[in-house]
Amino acid sequence: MTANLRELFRYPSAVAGLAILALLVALSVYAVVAIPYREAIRLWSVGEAAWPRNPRYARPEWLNWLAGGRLPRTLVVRGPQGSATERSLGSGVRELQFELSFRYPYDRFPTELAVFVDAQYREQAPHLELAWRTPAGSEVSLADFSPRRRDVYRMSADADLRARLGGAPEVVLFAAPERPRQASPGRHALRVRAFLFEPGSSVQVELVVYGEVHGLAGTDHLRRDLTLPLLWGTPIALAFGLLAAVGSSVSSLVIAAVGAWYGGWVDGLIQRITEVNLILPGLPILIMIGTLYSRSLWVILGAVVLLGIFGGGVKTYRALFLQVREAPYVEAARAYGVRDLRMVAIYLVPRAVPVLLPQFVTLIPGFVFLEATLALLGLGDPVLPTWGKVIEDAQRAGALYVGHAYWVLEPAFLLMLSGLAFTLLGFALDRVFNPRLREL
Amino acid sequence: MSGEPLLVVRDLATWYELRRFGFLHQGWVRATDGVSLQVQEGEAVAVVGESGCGKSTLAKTLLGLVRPRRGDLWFEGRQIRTEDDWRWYRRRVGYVQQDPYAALPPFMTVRRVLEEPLVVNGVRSARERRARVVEALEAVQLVPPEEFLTRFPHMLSGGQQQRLVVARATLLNPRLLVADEPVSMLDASVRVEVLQLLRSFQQARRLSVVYITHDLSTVRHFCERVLVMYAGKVVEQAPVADLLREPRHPYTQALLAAIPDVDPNNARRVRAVPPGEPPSLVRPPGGCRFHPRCPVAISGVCERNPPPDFEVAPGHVAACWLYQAARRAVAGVTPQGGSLP
Amino acid sequence: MESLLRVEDLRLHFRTAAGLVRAVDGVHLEVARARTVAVLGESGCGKTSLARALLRLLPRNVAHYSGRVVLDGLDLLELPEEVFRQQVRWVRLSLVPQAAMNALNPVLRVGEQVAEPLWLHGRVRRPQEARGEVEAALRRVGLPADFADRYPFELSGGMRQRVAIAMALVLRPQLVVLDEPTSALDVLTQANLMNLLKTLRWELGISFLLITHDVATASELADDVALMYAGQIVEFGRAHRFLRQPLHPYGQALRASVVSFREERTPQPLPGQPPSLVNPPPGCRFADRCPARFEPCHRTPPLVPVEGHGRVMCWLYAQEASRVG
Repeated sequence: MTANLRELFRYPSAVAGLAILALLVALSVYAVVAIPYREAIRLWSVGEAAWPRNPRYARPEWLNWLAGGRLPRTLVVRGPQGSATERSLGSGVRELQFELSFRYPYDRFPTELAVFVDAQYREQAPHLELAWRTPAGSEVSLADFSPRRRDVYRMSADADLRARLGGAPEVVLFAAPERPRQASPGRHALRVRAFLFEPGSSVQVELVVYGEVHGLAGTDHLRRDLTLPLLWGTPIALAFGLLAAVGSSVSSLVIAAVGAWYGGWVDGLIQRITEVNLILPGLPILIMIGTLYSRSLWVILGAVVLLGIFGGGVKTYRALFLQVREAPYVEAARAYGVRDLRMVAIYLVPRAVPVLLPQFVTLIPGFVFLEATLALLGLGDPVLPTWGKVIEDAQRAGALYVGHAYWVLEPAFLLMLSGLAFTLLGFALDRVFNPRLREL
Repeated sequence: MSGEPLLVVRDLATWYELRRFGFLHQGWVRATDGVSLQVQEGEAVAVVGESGCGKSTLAKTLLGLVRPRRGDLWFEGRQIRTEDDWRWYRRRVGYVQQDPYAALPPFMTVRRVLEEPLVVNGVRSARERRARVVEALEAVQLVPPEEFLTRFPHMLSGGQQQRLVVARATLLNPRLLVADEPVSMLDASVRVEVLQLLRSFQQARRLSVVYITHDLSTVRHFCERVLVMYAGKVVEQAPVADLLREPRHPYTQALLAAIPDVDPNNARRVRAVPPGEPPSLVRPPGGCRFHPRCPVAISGVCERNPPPDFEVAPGHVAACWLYQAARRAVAGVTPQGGSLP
Repeated sequence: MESLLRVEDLRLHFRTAAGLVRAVDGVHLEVARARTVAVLGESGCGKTSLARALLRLLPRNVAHYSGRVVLDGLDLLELPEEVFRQQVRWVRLSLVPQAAMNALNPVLRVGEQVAEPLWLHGRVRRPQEARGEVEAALRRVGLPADFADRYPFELSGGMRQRVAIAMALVLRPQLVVLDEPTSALDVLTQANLMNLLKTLRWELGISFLLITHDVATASELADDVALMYAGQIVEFGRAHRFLRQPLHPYGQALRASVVSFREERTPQPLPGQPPSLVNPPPGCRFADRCPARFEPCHRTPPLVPVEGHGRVMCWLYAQEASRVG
């Protein structure tokens, strides 16, 4: 065994496969440690509300290396800061004025504008008047309203403002005068007038100028950072693939060994069940389970393993065991008194390990892909963040048609990478354990 | 070599059923068809014959790996009939196989290989097991044992593998060793070593050996008695020296004539070899099964009646009509060739 | 005596996981016309690799292949592969491979397989036209002509072996390499086959290179014996002398290990293991197992000529030769 492993390292494909695998395992460990399971589930299912300051459909930040830094990042400006002026208007009413000023450096428009308000009051909410000053100096009044304790004023969604400006605010306010299709860099300011009606009352205002890039992986339509499902998808995919492969191949191995050893009606029964099972269409059954019973990944895993027990493996392994059963060493073992169960467990099954191990490793990606396939068909686990779910969301949003290629390509790349790792490793294992395949 | 024989086999027949589609009866392969033999304690008996003569089936039957269709078997005076008898009997018989590499589980270390029979037969103490494994390795000169314990079979040479097989076969202190072509897969230069090892076990432990082989030349130095089998029957049996000096059955004579010896003149002469091939065991020829190939067949006799055993000299028995006139048949012989005890 | 095949310093090394395997490591050999040389050696001594080297049936992991092989005046190693295939392999030099009886194609009729070499070498335009020659080839090896229509599984082991010999002979080569032609066969079948090979040699004037591990088998056919050990021919000489009195200590030990029912003496096992071909010991490769080992054996022994055309690779005789000379 150790010699076999040592030999494994002579194959570059095995080394590459193991390296990729190590990377994926490291990612999994990081994901599980950095984002606890409950937190991950919460962030994923809450969606937009969990990360309101993320832009929608943002590409990964590293794309800026290729785009030469032209893609705007999200800018956040908070106030009031030092230059706030406050005066009393009598009868306890105060007026607070300040500006949130910032330099916008990009020649591409922001994707969205929003003002987050954090108001402190007991009974009567403060009143806000918001206005915008463009680099050219013109001032546009935006809105006036009384915010709740935590409120968002989404400028881009304000139909009234849109009508007054004659276009989306993030475009009209940022457009260069001479070239209206391009944003002009320059200093903008959000002017805030707040009327406070209670002595202890105060307001905090935060302007978010949403950009086009976010984080390592970008975001989806619900502003969710895709790093989360990509990271967490790794342990889920590996666990699903591994468990499904172990479950189905080990159990079919044992069943095949039992059938081949006992023969007679036991073998006949196992063979008939296998044949019936082989003509059952697997995917539709899984779809039925997903639709009618449960979409939980673990239920699906159980179904996959159950369907796999009497799978094609039983036939392959049985052919192998029928040969092994006649092997002289088995005959010798019978001669010194080995009984049936021990024979199956200790003399037959280990003989198949060299065949099983590579097959088993090459089976894993199939199951990883199956999970993605089910997710794509809308039967993904409702709560778990998985690669398949990301692709499903992207597909529903028509990501590829509207140019959000990253959304599909990132999970697809990870799927491919894991498939590649197991395949490379499996092929090398096959050569190590089944030397006849070796081309010398 | 006196007193009660260790093993007595009378009129043993092991047939395999031929089936079509797995269930339609097609006939029987009469692999052994009325074989009788006795093995004394501490005696080595060779069973010689060509492939397909039933000698391996005889070995498997003697090991309890296949059940005979007919016949009786006594071991240490106890008749082996029920499954319990067979189980009791099997513990007392060791098995040395033809292909040592195939006879060893490739995934077990030498230590596991030797521990298995002990575990299976209820030796619970790990210390005792280890001691017996080491002792067994020493007995077959795989020394120092520590060096071999952790090796896998494929790391051993053919001779060493076969010695390991012998160690395993003798581990439970059997009374009888069945060796089925133990050296035919080995290099000529290693054969002597393994045969001498078997011989030393036989002599040192008063072990009885049934040595199955197709090669008469290995018989002389390693056995006391020889049985020659042809097409499922024993055609001649005799002490080794007698048989080699004066073979009686025409088949035995042909077999002996065919064996090359190291003689430079071999290259200049053509050997007299009977034509044809051994018959099918499904429909063996009537009468003497050798008659279609026999150069001295007596027409009108040999193709009609199966020859009984004739005692041609003390302890030398040939089943051939040629000796009918000269000698009387062994007392109580049935036409099927089985002698009654 | 005119030699048909002359092998000089032939080397064939393979790359494997364990290292460089020197399977054939400086072999010298001659085969005369209409004579048989037996290459005798234990398994793993490189004798099958020698057969492959002669026929240029090389696996892909060859690391080194050199020397001179002259067959009937033709320097085989110099020939391009295509010329070798058309002019030499099977035409002048053919092979009955090890376990040939299991090497027949199970789905082709015997006749079609025997006809294959004729067709491949353009003797006939279609395999079907070779019927006459196929039947003649089968009769030559003692099989009825109608066996041409049978499938290999319908034949016994001995008969299949005869088919393999018929295939090797169908183009009338001058030299046939027989790799363990009778191992795994029954005694009577072996004797039958040996009878056949003897007759073929007498009738066709063919030369054989018989590869075997069994001294008795070698004695059946050999005019000369080449004793191979760890990739080298350590003794070469007349069979009638070698079989009675081998010169090399390895030959003597091998001879003493032969089990024979006609001989009174007790056979002696050959102690020890042959050395690994990956790292053969320096000097004489048999030294570790040699009872006659003495001081110079740690150096590579010379090839000492004996009895005109033979030679032995051993210091014992080098000393003698130098004393006499």
